[in-house]
Amino acid sequence: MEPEKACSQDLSQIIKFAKLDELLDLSRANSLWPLTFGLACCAIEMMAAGASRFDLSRFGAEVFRPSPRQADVMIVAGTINKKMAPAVKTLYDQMLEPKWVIAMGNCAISGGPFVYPGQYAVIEGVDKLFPVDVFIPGCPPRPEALIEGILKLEEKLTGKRRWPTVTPQ
Amino acid sequence: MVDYAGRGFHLNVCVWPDRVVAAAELLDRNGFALDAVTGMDWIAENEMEVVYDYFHPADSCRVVVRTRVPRSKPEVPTISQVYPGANWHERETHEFFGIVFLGHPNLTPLLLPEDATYHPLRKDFVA
Ligand code: SF4
Repeated sequence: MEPEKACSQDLSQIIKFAKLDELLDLSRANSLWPLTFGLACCAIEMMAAGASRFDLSRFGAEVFRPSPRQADVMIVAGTINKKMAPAVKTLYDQMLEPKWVIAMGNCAISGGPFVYPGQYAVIEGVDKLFPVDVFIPGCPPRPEALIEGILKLEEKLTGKRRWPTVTPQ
Repeated sequence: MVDYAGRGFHLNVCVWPDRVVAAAELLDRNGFALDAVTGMDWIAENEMEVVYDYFHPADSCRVVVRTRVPRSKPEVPTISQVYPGANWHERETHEFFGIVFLGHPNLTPLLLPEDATYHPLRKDFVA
């Protein structure tokens, strides 16, 4: 074999060409940094997802950032009441683009168990405040569901799934 | 005196609205602490009730002081100068029931939005 050809063959194993956009998307999808905040019980499951048993760091999303300037995904975990809504909206506005939102749990999706006639305190879904990318149903969703939601967001960014899908037995 | 096991308190006192401060002072002198202030809407009788829950930390004694005011003019004097802790309880009772605590230093909403003008725990409240 000619030396040149051998060389190019080897290189193709380690060098790949792609559009810059795709590379950026891939890096963003593999290092989603969520904003550290929780609004109600769903946040407990979010914390569990970040801790050792469920270990969100396996998927690159464990770097919870205490400042909206450093975060690129907002996990809305819990009930948004009318008094809290302006604070949540401000946090969203303070996050830098590109940014994504995960609505975790029924409260963040639609107000959950707090929707009844005469309800005066709760915002019925975070999508009333700003756009949402992934909805995770449950009251609360299990940590596995949050991880799946993050994988779905990755899928949305890159257009393909990085991890196998688990089908229930 | 009431059945503590059944009701959760030892003494139930009903006073006129202008006597709540005197009642608070009496209980304060005897070492009682304030647990909570809340309201009740007796819509059929066209009255509002204010309920003060007191407890004695050492003697295990619970006292409930109640007073009733007309729904058209729900006003009672504040006890926040006797029990400073009553300040927030009275703000909460004010925003949820619309009961006005006369002489309160800052009767603004505590839990509801700052501009809330509705009183959601009144029986005739509709969102
Ligand atoms: S969806 Fe359920 S678990 Fe989650 S915040 Fe609402 S009430 Fe709590």
